[in-house]
Amino acid sequence: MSAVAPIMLLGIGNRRRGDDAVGPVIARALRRRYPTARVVTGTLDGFAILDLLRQTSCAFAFDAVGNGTSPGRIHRFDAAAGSLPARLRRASTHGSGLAQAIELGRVLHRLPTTLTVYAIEGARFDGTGLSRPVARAARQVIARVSVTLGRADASDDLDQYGGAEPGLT
Amino acid sequence: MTTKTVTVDQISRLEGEGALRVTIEQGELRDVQLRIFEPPRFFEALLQGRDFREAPDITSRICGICPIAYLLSSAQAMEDACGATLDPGLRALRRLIYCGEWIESHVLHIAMLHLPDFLGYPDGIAMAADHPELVERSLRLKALGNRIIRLLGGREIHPINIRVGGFYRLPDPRDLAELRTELEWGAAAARDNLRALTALEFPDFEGDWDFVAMHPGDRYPFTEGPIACEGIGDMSLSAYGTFLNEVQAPHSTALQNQRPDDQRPLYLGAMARFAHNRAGLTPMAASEATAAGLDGPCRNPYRSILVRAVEVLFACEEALHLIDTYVAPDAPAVAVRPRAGIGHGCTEAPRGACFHRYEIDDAGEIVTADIVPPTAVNQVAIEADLRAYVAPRLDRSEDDLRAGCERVIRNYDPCISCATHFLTLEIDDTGGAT
Repeated sequence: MSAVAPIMLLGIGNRRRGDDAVGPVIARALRRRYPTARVVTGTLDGFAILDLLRQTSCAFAFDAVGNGTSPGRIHRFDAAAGSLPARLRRASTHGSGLAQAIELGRVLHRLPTTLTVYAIEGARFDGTGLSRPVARAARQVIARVSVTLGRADASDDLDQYGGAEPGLT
Repeated sequence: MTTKTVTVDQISRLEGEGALRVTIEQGELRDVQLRIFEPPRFFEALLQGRDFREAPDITSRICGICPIAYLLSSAQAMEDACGATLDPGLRALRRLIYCGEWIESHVLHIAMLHLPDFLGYPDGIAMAADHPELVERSLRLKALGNRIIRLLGGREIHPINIRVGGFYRLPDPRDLAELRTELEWGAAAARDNLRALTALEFPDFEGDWDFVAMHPGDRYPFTEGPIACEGIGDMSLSAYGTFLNEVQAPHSTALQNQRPDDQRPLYLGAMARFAHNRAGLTPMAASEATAAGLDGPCRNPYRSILVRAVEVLFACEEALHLIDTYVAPDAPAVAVRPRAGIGHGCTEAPRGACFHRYEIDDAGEIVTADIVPPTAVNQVAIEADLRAYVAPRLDRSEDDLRAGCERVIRNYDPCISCATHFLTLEIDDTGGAT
């Protein structure tokens, strides 16, 4: 087994699919503040997520969810304590995702001691750049995690990660 | 008229989006339809006009579970069209990365998709709570398969290191050596999994199909060889291309490949490979297969879980052999110069022979593309199995029939994403606002 990383930041999503990029955007923004954290971003397979979770005792996962009914709405879950609500699990027949990885990890006793999931409802999942409400939500999540980890800072500049781009909905 | 219809709107525990409709009228089975509603994906169309060297990277996006099949089938088809031959070392590396794909795909299906059916669980997560050791062992095996793909392919999903002519970069021999220890564990773990699976109860069923698989003759097939069909024998890849007849079934977005002479359905996949190539297994894999009751060809699709487990064991042993005998080629790829012509490529995806045919022009531009995934061919066999399953069970409850039919389909480990790539879109416009 790999050495236990102090903090793991999982930014789940595709940077080229609109608001699906919010997970990687948040994780990358936090990386600058927490250089010792292990940051993994991308469209992560559920089994890969499970393998990552076993390598740490404290993990944060960031992912876009939803069908645009409440863009920018932030959902926070203590996934170590209980399952994610079924309504927010993105069902895909093309592979397992975060929710399935967490539940499988739970029955196998593989979850880290602390596992916090931030799910942000997206507005659109095409094009590049985050929609305005999702970009705003991303800033809020970064601030919240920073407070949690004891290193609150000024609002982050997300432009380099594709936030606040022209053509926002 | 009494009509009973059993529908499954979304079949669970398989890759892709498909549904099932069984129609029973007046106590007689009238129709069985495996309805693929995965959105059509138009790969054969969008390949036209692209450069021949782009085919591997484009076609690998057909599937996230079996990208190696598309990368290598397309690359080999283009190499065939251009008259290029790869060094033995490059061919060995292709075989090695395929070992990784079989391991990760088969283990996923065995442990998380298929086994819950046998043990009475709704899904793999529920099963894992009661069988953690088997699931943990399987997860580690799957990770091993992914590790092989990552090492040779650059990443696990849609690998980026494979190209027409070979690879972009050769693996570091030290990285290959480091795989050995885990592969040795993997072979033992695969053997333990197979032995555990022999305790399962298997429904009695004998399929009425003809096995089709690649048949190199001197080894178990991954990437080379003619294609063998029961009752016919070996045929060249170009002959296979004309052997099948693509038909657009009204109830499916996936083309079905049917035999033009309306004979028995064709069956592609692990059982087909096993039937044609059992002699090519390693001694231990062959011995364990015999111990598992697989003395000869297996025609019971419920037992396909055993055959896949044999192939996982074989793939681990084969990977060890390939690493131990690997001689690095002089270059990561051979030069491939385009010329006008037609090329054929076929490799054994986990689910069966994945066939590609391309026509390119003098400049290397793709003129036409024809991709025949194994699940497209197996659709006819799946529907035949469903008819055979339902016909004697018309008195069962709809829930019972539904569960049983889903199991029949899952026996095939179908990859529905692969099966949906049809070219022609017909719009029947009966008027009205858009």
